[in-house]
Amino acid sequence: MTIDKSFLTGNTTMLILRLLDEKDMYGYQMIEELRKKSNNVFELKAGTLYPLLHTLEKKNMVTSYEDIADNAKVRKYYSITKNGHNCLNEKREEWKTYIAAINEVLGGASFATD
Amino acid sequence: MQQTSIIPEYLEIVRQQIRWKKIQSSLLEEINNHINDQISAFVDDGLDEEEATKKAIAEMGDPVIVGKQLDRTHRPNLVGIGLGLILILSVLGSADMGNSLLRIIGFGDQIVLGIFIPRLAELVYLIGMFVIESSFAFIYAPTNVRKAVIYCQGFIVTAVYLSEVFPRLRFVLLLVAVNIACFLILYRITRSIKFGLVWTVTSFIGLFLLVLGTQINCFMYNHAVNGNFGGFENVPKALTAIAIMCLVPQVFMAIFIRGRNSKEQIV
Repeated sequence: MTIDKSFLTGNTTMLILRLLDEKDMYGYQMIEELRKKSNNVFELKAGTLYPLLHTLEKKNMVTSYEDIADNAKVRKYYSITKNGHNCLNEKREEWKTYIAAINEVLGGASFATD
Repeated sequence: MQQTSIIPEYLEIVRQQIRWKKIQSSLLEEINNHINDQISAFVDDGLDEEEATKKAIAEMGDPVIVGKQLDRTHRPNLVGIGLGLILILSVLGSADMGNSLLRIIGFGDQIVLGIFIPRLAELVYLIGMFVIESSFAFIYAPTNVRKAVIYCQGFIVTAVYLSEVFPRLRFVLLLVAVNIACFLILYRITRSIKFGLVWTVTSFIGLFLLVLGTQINCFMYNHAVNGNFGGFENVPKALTAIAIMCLVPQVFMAIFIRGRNSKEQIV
């Protein structure tokens, strides 16, 4: 199934924050994880991810630190802050409202969970 | 060997797009790591090294666009720099800002709303300094230590004011300020609280030895002049002073930084 991805870009922030909500990750790991979780639907490009991460860091939604990854290389890990957490919750609510509205308009079965 | 130069070439193009020199190396390192991770993933999938490298570079996208986007997020804050310069000039322009300000707002000497405030002019000046230093910290200090830096400046300014009011405190407070500065510099360079704490312990031991040496000196002097060893009454005071100046600020800062970033290793 092809999906118009442009409509998803605005929500990349939400997806990134959601990933970091589970555990701290470095950039490559996030792309991999997102791909796995979305069954290859979201193929985030590094060229999109890093500027976004750095912007989030400036906005104080994530922080970064260097640590040694499994393969003994030093990686820049990102970690969600309290600010980012609040933002995630907000975006999640917005998203739910949005999906519910779409489903209402489409008139089919409601896929909006809880 | 041809394929190995693809990565440096790619990175060089990205680097050219980023105008803020200071930030370049850390950004490139992150991208380099990413490319290498991608290469190893492709190699694990069965591609040979050369193909994996090419594919990984292709996955990254146009280096000009990547670089430009990074450049956009890491522009030096020109508004901030301008504001900082104006603030600094305004302070340098009137060295006795406190006095002028008091005259302008029409308060009598050292009495505000009927309350006597010692060294009011210095206080006003120091508050001005604090505002300037904080705005600088806000602009230039890295996000994770920004608040700590601002709190420390507040602490130092308070210390300077207290030392104006109580001259005897001055020496102790000066050492506290030096200690905090050293701690922050070490933290900034090493990104580890550990070194800051090592400094704390070192300076504590150093000052302790100083007290000990002074005390021994006193004993010898008293013994030679008076025939007795004199008293110990100054030792607890001195020890309290060095404990305060070495331990309290650093421990607070360490706790603060760790609170902000729980991954920070204390030891």
